[in-house]
Amino acid sequence: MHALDNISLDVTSGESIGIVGETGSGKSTLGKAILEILPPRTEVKGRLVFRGRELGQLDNARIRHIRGEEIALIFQDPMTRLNPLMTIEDHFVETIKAHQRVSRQEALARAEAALASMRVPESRISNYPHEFSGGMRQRIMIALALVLNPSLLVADEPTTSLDVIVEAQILEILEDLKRTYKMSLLLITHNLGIVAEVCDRVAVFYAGKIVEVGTVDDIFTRPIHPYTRLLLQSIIHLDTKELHSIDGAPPDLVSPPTGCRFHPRCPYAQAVCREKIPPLDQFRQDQLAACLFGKDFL
Amino acid sequence: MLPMLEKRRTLAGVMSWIGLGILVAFILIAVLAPIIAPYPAVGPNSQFLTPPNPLCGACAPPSFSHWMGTDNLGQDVFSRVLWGAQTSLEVMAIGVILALAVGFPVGLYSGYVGGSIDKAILLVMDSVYAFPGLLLAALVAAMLGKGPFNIGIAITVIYIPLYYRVTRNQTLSVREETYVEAARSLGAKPWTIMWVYIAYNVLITIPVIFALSAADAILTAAGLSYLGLGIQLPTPDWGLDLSVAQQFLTDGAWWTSFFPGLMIIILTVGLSFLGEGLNDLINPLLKKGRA
Repeated sequence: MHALDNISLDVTSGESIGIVGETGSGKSTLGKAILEILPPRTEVKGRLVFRGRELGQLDNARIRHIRGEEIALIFQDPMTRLNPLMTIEDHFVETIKAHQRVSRQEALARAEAALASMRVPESRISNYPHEFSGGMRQRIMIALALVLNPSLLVADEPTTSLDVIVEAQILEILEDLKRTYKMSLLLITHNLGIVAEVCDRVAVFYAGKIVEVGTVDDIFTRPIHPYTRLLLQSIIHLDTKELHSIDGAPPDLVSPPTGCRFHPRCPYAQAVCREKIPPLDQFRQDQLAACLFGKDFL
Repeated sequence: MLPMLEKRRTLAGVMSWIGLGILVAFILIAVLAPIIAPYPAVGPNSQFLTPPNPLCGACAPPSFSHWMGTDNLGQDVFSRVLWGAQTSLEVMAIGVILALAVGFPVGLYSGYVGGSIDKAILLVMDSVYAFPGLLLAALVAAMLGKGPFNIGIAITVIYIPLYYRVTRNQTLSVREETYVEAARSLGAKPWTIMWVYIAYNVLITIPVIFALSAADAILTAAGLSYLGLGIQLPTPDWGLDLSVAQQFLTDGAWWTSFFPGLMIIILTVGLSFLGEGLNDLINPLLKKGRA
């Protein structure tokens, strides 16, 4: 089974890209593939180039140094991402010492600074994970991911389980980091609002494939692919009178539909869509879409 | 563990306390044997050295001077039973601690790395496990020779697969916990992941099998001594005393076998209570079922 198929993305320094798509479209798999922490018996074919180094060719020790220090990952479920038997302090010291030769005091100082930047009181550094709320834990996870100043942050639905106020705070912090440290951000989410707010570019995933890539501006105002258009229609606004949804369910990736993977649910599908796999074609300056009839939607 | 016991006045809690009490009592007996035993463990202590009972040598039924009677050599059974606690606990401790010291790390490693290394270790451990325990211990004991330490090792061999199995299976599930994945994503070394993130979360399953295997180890050690493969005379040992006493049982000398046997039963039951009680307290599924 292919969880992801033919994915190609570039992220430049200081840029943030939003990855959007339905549940099961392969967004999280992409995040894990970048850090090479996919479960056993999975295979990544292709190339992952990070700052001129091809990650697939590095040995395990080098990859381990890149993880956390250069590329960090924030997971979506903060409730279970911290070891229940370790204090927050231990998590930080452990992480920092895995990468750098520093004293415990130095590591603690950095941990406190990172926590402070996420507005977690320093006094709680010796608490255990169960003593924190979900929002606090997620902020601790983010502080943990950022404590080593990675140059690429993969954030897998970082705010999904948080209330809107904390969400706004975290997005603000992410934007701030992007500006100050020129950190690149790969933001995986199904919340299109967040993407519009934080990201420069968007890649829309459907059934393990990129169906459309472009700047936030282009994608939100001039979408080409029918899936993107339907996805945008399903956003709820204040003046929404009627909810729009996309009929049908995401396909089973064990036996994906032939041709264009979206054709069974596409209102514009033609006979040819069932046979021909649409290539990711360029339709505007920075906008690519995988639709045989993309020209009709310009 | 102890605060957990205090909070719950349940059957499991009571069982754990009784078991713990019995274990502590036996440890005290073993430690204090030189002080509390009225006679030395070895050598005739009987005042009736002229055989009162022609069938079983110098044996005499329980009396005020010998609470549990004397055996065929005129040795005080009460004193030998007290001293025997030392031997039993020593063998048991060597057996289960060594089994834990080997089984736990191997299980942790095997479960963490997985793949063909895991399969190979699993195959070896399962073959050992499939072997009847007492027979295996008897084989090892016969190879190593007698003495408490060697018997401890013979017992270790039986229980390594048990500790390995439990540790490995628990490791397989803890390995999939999301905080382990998170640690990996932050660049933790495999060694750190194994010993910091997984080991402590696996360790919680150990006290239960530790107590249960200790109970079993007492029986196995007694069995080995009974078969003549364990402790050698004149060292006081319950299993050994049972085996000697057996031949006089038909002559009515019940006390020489009854009291060592009783000790084996009490200690084994105590350790089983401790194990079963802890199991109920630690296993969250059972806890939910009761609530």
